[in-house]
Amino acid sequence: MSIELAPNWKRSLTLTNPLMLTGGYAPNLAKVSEPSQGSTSIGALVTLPTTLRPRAGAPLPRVVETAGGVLLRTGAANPGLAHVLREYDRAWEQSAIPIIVAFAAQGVNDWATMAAQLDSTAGVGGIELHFNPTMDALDAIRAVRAATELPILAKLDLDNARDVAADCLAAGANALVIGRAPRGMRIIEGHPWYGRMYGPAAKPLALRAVAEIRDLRLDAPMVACGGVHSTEDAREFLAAGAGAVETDSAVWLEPAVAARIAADLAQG
Amino acid sequence: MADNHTLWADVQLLALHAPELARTLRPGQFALARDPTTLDPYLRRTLWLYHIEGARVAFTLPARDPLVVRARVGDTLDLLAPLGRAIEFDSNARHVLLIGEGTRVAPLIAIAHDAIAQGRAVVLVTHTPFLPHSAGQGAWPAHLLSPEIEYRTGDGLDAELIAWADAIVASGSAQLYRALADAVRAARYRLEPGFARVLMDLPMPCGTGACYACAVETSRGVKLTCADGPSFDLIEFANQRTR
Repeated sequence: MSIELAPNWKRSLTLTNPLMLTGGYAPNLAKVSEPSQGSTSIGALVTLPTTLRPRAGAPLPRVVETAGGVLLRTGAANPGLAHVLREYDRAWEQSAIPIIVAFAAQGVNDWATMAAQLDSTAGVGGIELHFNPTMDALDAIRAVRAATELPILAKLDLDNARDVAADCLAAGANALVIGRAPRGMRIIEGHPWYGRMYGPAAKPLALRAVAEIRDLRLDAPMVACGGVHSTEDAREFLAAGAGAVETDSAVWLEPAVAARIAADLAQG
Repeated sequence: MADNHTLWADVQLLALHAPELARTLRPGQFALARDPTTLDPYLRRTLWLYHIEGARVAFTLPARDPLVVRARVGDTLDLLAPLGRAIEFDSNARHVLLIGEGTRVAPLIAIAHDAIAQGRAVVLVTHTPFLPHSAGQGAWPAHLLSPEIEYRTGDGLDAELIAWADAIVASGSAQLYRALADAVRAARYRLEPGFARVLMDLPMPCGTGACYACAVETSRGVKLTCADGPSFDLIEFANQRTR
């Protein structure tokens, strides 16, 4: 099995399994994600969204449960790229699967700096861009494109993916990720609490968006993301037009689930 | 599951028959639990170690939690454990002071028993000044503690107590931790690394460092409560912004 996420590009990003795992920076997750037997592996690891400098993140609490999942608002808490590279560069270099470094929303110049640093980092197979409403997504993609030849995956919000998908590819993205966790809200002690929705309830929303992007017939690979908790979920996304599937919060519940889905998908 | 009953106030005791865990779990560590038959509730629940006896491991968690409400004796829970770093005292620490607030005393009790078993003198204090005056927020009931634990209520930040202590572990609010740092500096002139540890009780969705929902800012950078904690050196945490 081989899935190419950067076809016709200078540097390939080839997955040997369509299941991609998101979160963390590898070593501990990779261990629990590898099947105890056999050689099947997940296709790639997409890191936690990372910034150039450390970010303490949003005030606590950062997670609120709701029916069908959770709202999460981390504020892109992360240790910063320099720390990540110090801590994990050896593990990435030795990784059997490509590491895709996710960029959390921040200034375009910081993105360009990060992209340039990662360009020659062993084991890094690509970059996944997470935008926010204050960013000019197209300018950001162009800036990253100018700084690196690494394949770029643009992870789009579900509510406007259809409108911006083609432009993102024209700006230099190699593939689309559909999409970021949908935004949601709860009223907590009389006050609105905003976050992104993770869990099974996100799947139908993401699935519909994937099908809509498929119908645009864009000449680029598409990765699906949203509420994948089982092999059946992953297969639905693949049937809807995705070439690969990301799973995130499912491994919070069951760390070995990614390996199990990958093994199932490898068997066809 | 061998037992599921309310210990006191909003503190539930879940006792599990878990022989392997009984051998490996150490005070200060925790488990993440879920009902393997359902995705509701979605997240794993944090279980704090309370007591180990033979193959039986007792944990505490909030009594109103849906996991508690539904779980019955004989049920099987799916646990990730042991997680986090255990509390280890310096070999020279003969006097251990444990300071908790209300229900947050619960995680200190296993630490107290462990310290006593190592031949250390332990004083456990329910620090009451910062507790809200609401039901279930009083002092931990003395009758739930074994006699070898010297137990007090009131001011856990008493200068004499802090001067007596060779090591401190606290479990409570950010307000308590700030006040503890001030009290240690006042009583001992300076806050030494390794002298006091504080337990962070935050939602920890993944337990593996994947989600970063439990990230805290420390003087040594962003750290994860699930992987680097759940206890931190007070000196790392004392000067950070309140959350």
